[in-house]
Amino acid sequence: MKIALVLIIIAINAEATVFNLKGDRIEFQNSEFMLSELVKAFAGVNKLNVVFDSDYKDGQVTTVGPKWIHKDSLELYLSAMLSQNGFGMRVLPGTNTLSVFNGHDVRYLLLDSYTDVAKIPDTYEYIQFMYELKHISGDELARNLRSFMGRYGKIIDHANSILIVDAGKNVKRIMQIVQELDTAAYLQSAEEIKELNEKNKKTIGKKKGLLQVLSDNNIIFLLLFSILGGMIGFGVRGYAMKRIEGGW
Amino acid sequence: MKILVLLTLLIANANGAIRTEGEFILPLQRKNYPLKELIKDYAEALQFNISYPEETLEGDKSTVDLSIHEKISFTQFSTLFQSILDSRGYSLIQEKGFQWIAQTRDVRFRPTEFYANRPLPNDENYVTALFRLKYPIASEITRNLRPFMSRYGRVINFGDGRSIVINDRGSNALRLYETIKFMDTEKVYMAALNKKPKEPDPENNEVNQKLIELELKNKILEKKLIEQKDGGANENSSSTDHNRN
Repeated sequence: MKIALVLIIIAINAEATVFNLKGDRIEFQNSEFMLSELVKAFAGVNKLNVVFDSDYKDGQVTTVGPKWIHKDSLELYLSAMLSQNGFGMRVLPGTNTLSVFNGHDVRYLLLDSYTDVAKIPDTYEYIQFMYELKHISGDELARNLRSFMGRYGKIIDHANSILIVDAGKNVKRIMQIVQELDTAAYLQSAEEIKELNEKNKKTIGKKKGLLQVLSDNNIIFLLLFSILGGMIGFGVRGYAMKRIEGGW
Repeated sequence: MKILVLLTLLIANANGAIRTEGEFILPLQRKNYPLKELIKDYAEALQFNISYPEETLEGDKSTVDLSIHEKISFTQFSTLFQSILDSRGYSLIQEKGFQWIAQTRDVRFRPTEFYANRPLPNDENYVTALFRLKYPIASEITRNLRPFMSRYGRVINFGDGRSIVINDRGSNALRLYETIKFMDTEKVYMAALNKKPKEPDPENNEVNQKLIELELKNKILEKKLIEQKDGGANENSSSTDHNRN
């Protein structure tokens, strides 16, 4: 009876884990599991506590094919599944706690900050990255790169730097674009375009005739009205004076 | 009896699974093949771990009619599989050691692989590709490329006039690259330089005057129609009143 009880307890506990760590492999127990269980299992492996945001909405994950991944891919796997559900994760600074938060709250959070592209984690975890541009201006770059930001990502330009908040993998992609563009050749080409545009503006400039300018400003109407008004005024004055003096 | 049951099970399994021989997929015929089943069988045949949140494919009961007449390589089958997913609005994302399925409409938020100065893949995976032009005509070229982008693709040009970034399927990005090469010529550059800007029409030209006259006529006609309707309504009501009286 005791042995049966122990076996049942072991079985229950075994069922509660989403995966087993066997050497270098993470082997999933089932094809379907809840995302929250995956988070807890990940935290267990890394000896972390877990806290879920109050508006966390759990979802089911389905896995097909060989039910294992390499243990080094576990963090990437978890962050990918969370990001698909609109959530992110981070380790709370100064604690040993993994926090799962809603992606739209990322702008309020204190994230890990990086300035070296090589150190950016290759996962979907949100990070903050600052980069000082060497040649090109930040405002035009930030404006054009907004199209490549993640759903809750942000890019801000300040002085000659850019600040990006986004998933690590996306920050890496953005920086690959930036590093290709931030060159002296880009600046030279931009100057060339500016000169061409200035040149074209001068040739576009429409030459207006004097009559056109006058009619645009309704000056002809004002002149005619003034002349007419003057004629009527003087005419009335002359007539009145003649009548008073008794000439007519 | 037991042998019969076993044989039936084997046949059923054989019909449900995609059979392989080395690195090739054997011919198969499937009608009304549920998409979820296809994903599962694909993953098992090619030994890829594929994961997806349940809500990605929630409620999807679409099926596929698939006929493969001769054996094809794993690469070809992967391309075919990605095309099937793409036609149903899904993308297969490849990561280190696993793959996952997402909605294609979210591709703009996803970090796709970056290509600059290296060959583009000719497949259905979304890529981010940077093209450098010889001549500073990026804005003209970008404008002309927009009709050729796929549904969720993006094309952006930068202020130097020589950089274009495209986010699209690898196969489409390759096609666009050929188009860019065709347009990035001195002839097009000179034409762009010499293009006379369209002068704004003066307000008092003949066409504008005619338009104004037509608008006036339309308004007069509308007013007459409204008056007729109101007049008719008033007559009806007065005749009804008269009848009542």
